[in-house]
Amino acid sequence: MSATPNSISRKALLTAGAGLAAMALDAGPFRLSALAAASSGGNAHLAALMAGNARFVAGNPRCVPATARRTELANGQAPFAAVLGCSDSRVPVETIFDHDPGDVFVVRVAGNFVTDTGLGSLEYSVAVLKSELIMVLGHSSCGAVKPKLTLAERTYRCGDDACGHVADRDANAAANLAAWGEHTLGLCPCVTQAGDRHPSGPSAGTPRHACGGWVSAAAVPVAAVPPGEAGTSRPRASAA
Amino acid sequence: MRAAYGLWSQAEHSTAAGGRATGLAGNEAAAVRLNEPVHMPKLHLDDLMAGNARFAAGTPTAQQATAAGAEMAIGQAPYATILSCSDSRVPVETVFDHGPGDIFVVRVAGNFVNDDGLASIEFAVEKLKSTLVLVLGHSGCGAVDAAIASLSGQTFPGSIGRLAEAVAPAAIAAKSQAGDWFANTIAENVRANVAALTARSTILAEAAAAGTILIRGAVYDIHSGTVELLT
Repeated sequence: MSATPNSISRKALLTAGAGLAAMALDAGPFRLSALAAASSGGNAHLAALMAGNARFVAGNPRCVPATARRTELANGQAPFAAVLGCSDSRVPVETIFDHDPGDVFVVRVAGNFVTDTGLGSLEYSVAVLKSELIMVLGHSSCGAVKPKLTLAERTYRCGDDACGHVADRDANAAANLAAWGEHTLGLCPCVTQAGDRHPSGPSAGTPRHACGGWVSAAAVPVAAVPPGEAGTSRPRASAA
Repeated sequence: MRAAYGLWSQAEHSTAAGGRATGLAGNEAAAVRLNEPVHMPKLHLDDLMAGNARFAAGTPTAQQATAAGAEMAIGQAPYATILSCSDSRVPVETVFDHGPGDIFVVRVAGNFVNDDGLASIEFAVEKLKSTLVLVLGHSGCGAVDAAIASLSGQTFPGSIGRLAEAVAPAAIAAKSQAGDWFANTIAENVRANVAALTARSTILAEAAAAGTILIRGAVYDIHSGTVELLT
């Protein structure tokens, strides 16, 4: 986290519409900066989620009485965001974003990939409940040390005691290289977390965010989600 | 949030013979075993329900469970696996006042079993050794509402119709029941999916029959905050 964000590059990225990818945790995981300028509904909501994550990481979640909005919510929900996350027990969505019942519509399946009915759920959140932000939330590796894979093994599978995530090694390598490059260029300090996958990487010595709880920016506004580009997904099971 | 249950050995919570002797299907056998005094999955269920009681009373303790310690980077060992709805008013960990690492969670609008959700649950039982599987419906469910509307011919855009299709059998089954159709469909949908878990999964059926897991259904009341177990 030693890199200083290149404000010009970041501004250019924001202008170019790739801003969410460049959304940065400035100078460390506990402070947000680029988000302050966010203005559209989706960006503001994203800022709210990320601020909540910062509170969670800092060990300083709000202590809002859990019963506060229950009566109001019994009449209906209006979640500002929808999150597609993993079933992994270490990634309780509302907890890591420090948000309350009623705030976030949540779809969870091991591997956080889009299924037909998961898609229907997200569409329901947007079309009916008017959520303005969709976040696909992966999480860092499951912490288990992996035996070295041979070159012939092209698919990574998270181990027995972990989350079950399956990934294409080539796609993963590409993502890691992109993250490394962005970090090297100072474009996106937040993605130094990708270095967590490499003990000798640029973020060696910083907390592993599966336990540290950082969320890096991988969210895109609803209108900008390209079909078929939901990231690495595991092989699909047969249709229901 | 986890109590130390090491006092009871694996053998003591394995009641395979008793379960099979009844000749019941897996989840029914598991329900029968609820009467046994010392049973690991039952203790885990008690733990969950105690958490819900804290939540409903407005006295949760899990707020202190922030980014957890290094042990969670090594792996997870969630004792419970919950299939719940995507509804924003049903944040599973919050409702049960549990923290990171405790509960493996599958969520889809309508809390029904689909292939990928089933794979997730099987993974939790087979690999992570979850001993409790809970299907959690809730009052005011939009997917149930859509399913009932679909029976009157209403259609939905995009993939939303798939949610209604998945819950529609429960709406049909509940239509002839006495009482409120909506509430009955919510409960019926939970029961149907409790049954679906063992009907569609050999892993879950065998684990339930062996007594190593308990499969139950419950309904969360979004007004009161309480979770009520279905029988």
